[in-house]
Amino acid sequence: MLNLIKYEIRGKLLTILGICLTVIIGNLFLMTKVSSGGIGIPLLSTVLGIGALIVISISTLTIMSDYLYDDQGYLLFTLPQSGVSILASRLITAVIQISIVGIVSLAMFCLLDQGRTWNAMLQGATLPEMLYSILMYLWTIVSTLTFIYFCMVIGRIALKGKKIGKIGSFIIFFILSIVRNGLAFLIANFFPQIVQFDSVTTVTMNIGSTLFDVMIFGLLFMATSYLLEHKVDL
Amino acid sequence: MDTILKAEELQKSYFNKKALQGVNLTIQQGKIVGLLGPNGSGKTTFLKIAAGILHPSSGTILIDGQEPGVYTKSIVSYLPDTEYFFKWMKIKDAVQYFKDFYTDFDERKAFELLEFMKLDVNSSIKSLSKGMKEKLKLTLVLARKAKLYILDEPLGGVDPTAREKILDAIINNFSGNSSMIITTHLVNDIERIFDDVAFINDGVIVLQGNAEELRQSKNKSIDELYREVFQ
Repeated sequence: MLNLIKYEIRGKLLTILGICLTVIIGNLFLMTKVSSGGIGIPLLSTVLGIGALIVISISTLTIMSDYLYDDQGYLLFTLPQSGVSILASRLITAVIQISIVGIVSLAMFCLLDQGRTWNAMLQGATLPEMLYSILMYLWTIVSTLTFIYFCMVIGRIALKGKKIGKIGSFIIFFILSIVRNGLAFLIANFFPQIVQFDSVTTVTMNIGSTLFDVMIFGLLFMATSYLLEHKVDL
Repeated sequence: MDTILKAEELQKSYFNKKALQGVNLTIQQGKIVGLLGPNGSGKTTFLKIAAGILHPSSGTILIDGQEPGVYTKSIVSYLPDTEYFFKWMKIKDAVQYFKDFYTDFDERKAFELLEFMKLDVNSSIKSLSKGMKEKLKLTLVLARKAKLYILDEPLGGVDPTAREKILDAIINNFSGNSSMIITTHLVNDIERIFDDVAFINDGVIVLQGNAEELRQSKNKSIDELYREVFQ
């Protein structure tokens, strides 16, 4: 699995470098305007960072679609690797890619802002809260991508054509999102018990819908792994 | 003699099209088998199922006694008829890739074959011609000590000189402990290396047997027989 991650990162290296360089150069340019910009400059830096994260997130989706629809799939799916390895490596690669771009964007923002926002965020935050934030960050990426990858794989299996498969995957994603969110909403209403953390902001977590999300993630991860190994036809 | 591949009543359908309609084929250890047929006859479909990247609709296929999966991929060396390398790769990266993923990959043999094929390890893959890419793919596939080699059109799109070179590489690097299945349209160029042949048409094996016995019994070369069967 480590080799899968290594080659995936190597393949995306230019994309990652390109995005990071854009963020760095963009922020350096903004730094030259700090004296005249007021609040608009940090806002522009934030927009730049969010834009970079959106681009790299889209790039993480191509990690899967390239293998499902292009000839590169022959390289991946002829390897003696299990579906679990393939999926886990895609997810870890995505986390690494997004994190690199996120850290660069945050670092540049902090330089621009001279650390004011960062210090304000950290003030009063305890170690468990920081760990919780990191966990939620990883969970958001991994669970979202697992859900999207599942829809992509289902679309590839059910609809053979490249164009129709991709459109179909999007429709499947749309429908399953509504179903999943609807169920989570019903569960949250049926089991209203919550956990609450008071920190810089108040974090509220519904126990029922959180367990439901974890269960759905587990099911989708295993289903996608199985489909990748046993059902995807090239 | 051990059986390396056994397919029984293998079928594959795409919506209303039947690509394979009950293929029965056995490949013994140490044999080179030619799977011959016209375009759309089901050759590539069969090979892709054996390589584990396509799944049969019904029937069974066993490779070294197991269904296609992680284990069989570790003992099958597959040459597809597509250009599957990453665009960023140089030849040395592709060698390293195979070394990283296949425990049976022999790096020394790969470099010997690259030299034989006159390929520079520092060349970028996207700069290679179709024939050179074909030679590279074959180098990597043959540098593995696999139990079963699956070669889909290894001579496709290469000039006659390169064909000879590729055939020499196949013959020189084939060991009696392995087996090989090859598809090709260029029957005349390659028939000398076949131990057995199977003719496939519309997803059905229409004729199969030992190549030499077929030549003698029909008093024809395999190429002539191919033209007769598929005329």
